[in-house]
Amino acid sequence: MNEEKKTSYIFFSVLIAFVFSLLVARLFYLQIIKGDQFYQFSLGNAFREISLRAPRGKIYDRNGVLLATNQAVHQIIVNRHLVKNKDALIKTLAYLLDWKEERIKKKYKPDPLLPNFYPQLIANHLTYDEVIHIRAKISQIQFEDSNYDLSGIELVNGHERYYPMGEEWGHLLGYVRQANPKALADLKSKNQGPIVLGDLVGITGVERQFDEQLRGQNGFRQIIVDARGREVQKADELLKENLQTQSFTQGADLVLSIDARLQDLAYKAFGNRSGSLVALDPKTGEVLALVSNPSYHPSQLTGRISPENWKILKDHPRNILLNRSIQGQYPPGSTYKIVTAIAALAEGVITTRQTITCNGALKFGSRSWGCWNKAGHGPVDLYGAIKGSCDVYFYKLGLKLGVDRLAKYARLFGLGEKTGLFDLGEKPGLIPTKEWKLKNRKEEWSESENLGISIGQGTNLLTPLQSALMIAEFSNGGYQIHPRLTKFTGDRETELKSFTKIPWGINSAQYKRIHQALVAVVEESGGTGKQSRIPGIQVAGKTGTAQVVSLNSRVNKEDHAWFVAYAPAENPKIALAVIVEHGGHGGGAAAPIAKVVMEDYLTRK
Amino acid sequence: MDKRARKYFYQFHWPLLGVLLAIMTMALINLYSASLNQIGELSGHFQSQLIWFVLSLFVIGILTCLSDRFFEQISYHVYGVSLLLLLAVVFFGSQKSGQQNWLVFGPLNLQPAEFAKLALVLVLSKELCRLKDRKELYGVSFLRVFAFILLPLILILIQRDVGNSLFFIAIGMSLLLFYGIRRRLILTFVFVGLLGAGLSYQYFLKPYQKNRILAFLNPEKDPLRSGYHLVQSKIAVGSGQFLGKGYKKGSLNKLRFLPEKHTDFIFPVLAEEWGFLGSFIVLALYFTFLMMLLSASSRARDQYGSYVLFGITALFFWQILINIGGVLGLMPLTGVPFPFLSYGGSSVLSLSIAMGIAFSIHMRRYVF
Repeated sequence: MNEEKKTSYIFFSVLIAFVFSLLVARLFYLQIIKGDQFYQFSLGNAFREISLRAPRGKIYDRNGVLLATNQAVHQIIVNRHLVKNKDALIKTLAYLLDWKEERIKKKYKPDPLLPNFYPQLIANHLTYDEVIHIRAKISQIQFEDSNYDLSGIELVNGHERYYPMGEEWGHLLGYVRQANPKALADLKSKNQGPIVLGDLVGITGVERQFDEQLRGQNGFRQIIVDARGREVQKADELLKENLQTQSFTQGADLVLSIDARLQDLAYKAFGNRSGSLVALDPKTGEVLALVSNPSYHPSQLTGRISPENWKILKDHPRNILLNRSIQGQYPPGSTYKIVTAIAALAEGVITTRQTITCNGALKFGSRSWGCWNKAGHGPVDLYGAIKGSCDVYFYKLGLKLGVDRLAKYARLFGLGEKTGLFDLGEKPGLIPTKEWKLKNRKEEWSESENLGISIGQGTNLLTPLQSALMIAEFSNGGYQIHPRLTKFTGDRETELKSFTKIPWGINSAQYKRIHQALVAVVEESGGTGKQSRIPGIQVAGKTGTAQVVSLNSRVNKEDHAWFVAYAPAENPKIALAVIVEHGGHGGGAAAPIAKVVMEDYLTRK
Repeated sequence: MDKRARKYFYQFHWPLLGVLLAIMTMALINLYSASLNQIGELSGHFQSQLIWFVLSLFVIGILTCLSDRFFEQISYHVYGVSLLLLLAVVFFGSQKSGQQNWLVFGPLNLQPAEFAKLALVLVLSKELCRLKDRKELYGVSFLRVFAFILLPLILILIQRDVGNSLFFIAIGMSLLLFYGIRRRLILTFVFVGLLGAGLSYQYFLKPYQKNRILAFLNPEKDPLRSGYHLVQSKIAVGSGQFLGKGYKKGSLNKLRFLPEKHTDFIFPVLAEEWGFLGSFIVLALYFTFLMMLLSASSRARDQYGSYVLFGITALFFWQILINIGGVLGLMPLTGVPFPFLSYGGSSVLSLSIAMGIAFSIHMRRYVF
């Protein structure tokens, strides 16, 4: 071996010896110098870590109205693995709470969704007086005999999600639950930030969509407890220096684009009729109101819901759990004629001046396809056809266009696909094509189907959100907006210009003509949407009636009423879609609801 | 017995085997206590480890019979296979405590990272010999060496196993340090720097700063818990005092305050029950063990042999240091098993393969 290698081995031997003597020195310090203190401590005491749960962020509407917050609650929890004598414990709890033992036993039963060691809630919402009372009893017990046992019990301050507003917020805000192991694994696999068992997580709606942002970061506090599980206040210095505390970080607050007053007005305007209203700012894409009726109060589903209550909601006759604004899929009816008109003009199958004569019906194949106006509209041009909602005019456009060309323009509006407002639960609607039919129904597209889809009947389906998106994108001059739930702060016009212009392929004169016709629908005498007129503000809109095809012919249900609108017509600040299920005609049932919302939004000081 | 066999019999490193057997016996005695629960029932860990130990003696026996040339020849293959296994973990691995580093073959759970460590030792030894032969000290050839270290390192980082990935750097650095005196100087600085960083991390950073670092390095592992574990570990060790609380009497161990007590926190169990005296004796055993390996390295027949033996020494050294340093609160806890003392089939198997190779090389030190 050469000299270099020899020094090398000496070097490493010394290094290893040095490290080992370091380890021995450390052992000497811990076991000999501090050993007695550690030993005394280990006799009866133990470290416990108390999790300091971070409250979720608050949720506000665009004007600062509080929609969701947290409420401090006093709770009694049991740590099942620390319980020494279950029977004595139940007896003690019954004494403390003045409850029957049966009730305690029921609460003590493990939640099947949570692991056995997980702290279980025994009593929630204790009042301050109750807390004082219980504390007094606890100290009393501790001096008495061993018939009472409190090991495993903790009196803690928790917080609960609290929704101060009404039931109009159920679908939109969604609700939260304590994360169970399954939800936890799911969230972890999606890399949704640090989260532990029992943290509140959003299950649906805004709470779900912005869950990661709303959830805070938990902290913890280490304490020293004695053999009975009580906190030892006078721990000696050595041990105290080892205790760590980390405060929690509350979740970030969220300011929604929603206008709480509109949400409330719209929900009330439906009364006991089922339906939905979606209002957007056509320049920013902000969702101003997202209403689904009927609805439930968000707190009804928060926390541990009893099977009975769940059954009531699940079996609700009007399908209360369906969020109609994003999950209800309806044929758009005549509101869809806006899309057909754009497609026809862009594809050159009609000009704005050309007229088509309506005799009240169109014969196609073996069938006569009626116009809603049995007397017929006579010769109508585009303007007249939209204003009078002439079906025959649009049948003919539909025949000339064909399904695929019409679908192309619907797609340009973003119809037939999810808007992405919510990751969970949103339905895509349906814009049929020849290919779609062949694939899904195993049939060729029939020419006669072109008539139905051109007036929004038949296989095409839109959600209220998509209808609102359609009318908003028309009203803003054809910019592709992206519906958003968070408030936009900035210049609306600049924001609008930052969006992509939809390549419709119609010129401004043609656009203007459709726009004028939509104004006429509301503002001219005989317009179908006249019930949405607002004094001093020009409104543009389109009514629609979606036929309800009932499988049970004996129950002849009324058609769904649609109304889409925007106002002020020349510089729109709000665009919306309203559907009233089985409401009959759009002009009668849906337009008045639209009016209430638009008027409040536009005339509010 | 023919002449060659007799020669090998006499040249076999009996003292090293003796120390190894002493370590294994001690490890089993300790694991037995750690495997008992509060009411005195034995969990399956003890039996399972016993089987692994018996198996590992066979592995050592078989490998000792194989020629050291054979290990040299298959260095690259072993390395390649270990990379493939690591890659397989990335795609098919199953998770345990947040890290996706297990391969499941029926009833058998494998941690390829444990084998990759040894593979790295073999391949680096080969590479460094190659460099030495050509007298290339600098330049492109060194990049090759780094690539050999980096490949498994990256694959393990993907699995979020920061503890083990640092380990690869430690082993790579140790062998490079061993390779050359000039680099040794530079690397010593790096080593001192790392030690300084580790110490300042431990003593000068504020808790929230530490948590940020930990959260950055290993977001899955919930860094907030590590402080709690450490406190429990220190109490267990400290309360052992000079003579210990006595075998099977460690209260913290029994009350299950010590997390992962049969793997990462096996040393505190020992320290609590056997006290300073027992811990000192065990550390002395391991120290003797390391010194024997190091001296075997210096007596190896060829360069390759001495590199491999040195690498194996480093393998043991770093595992011991990182584990005890962690549980005694001298450095961050990373979750590296204590050689032979900790429960774990993959760890025991890979270490016994290493020992088999060590015995084989040492036994053939006079064969030319």
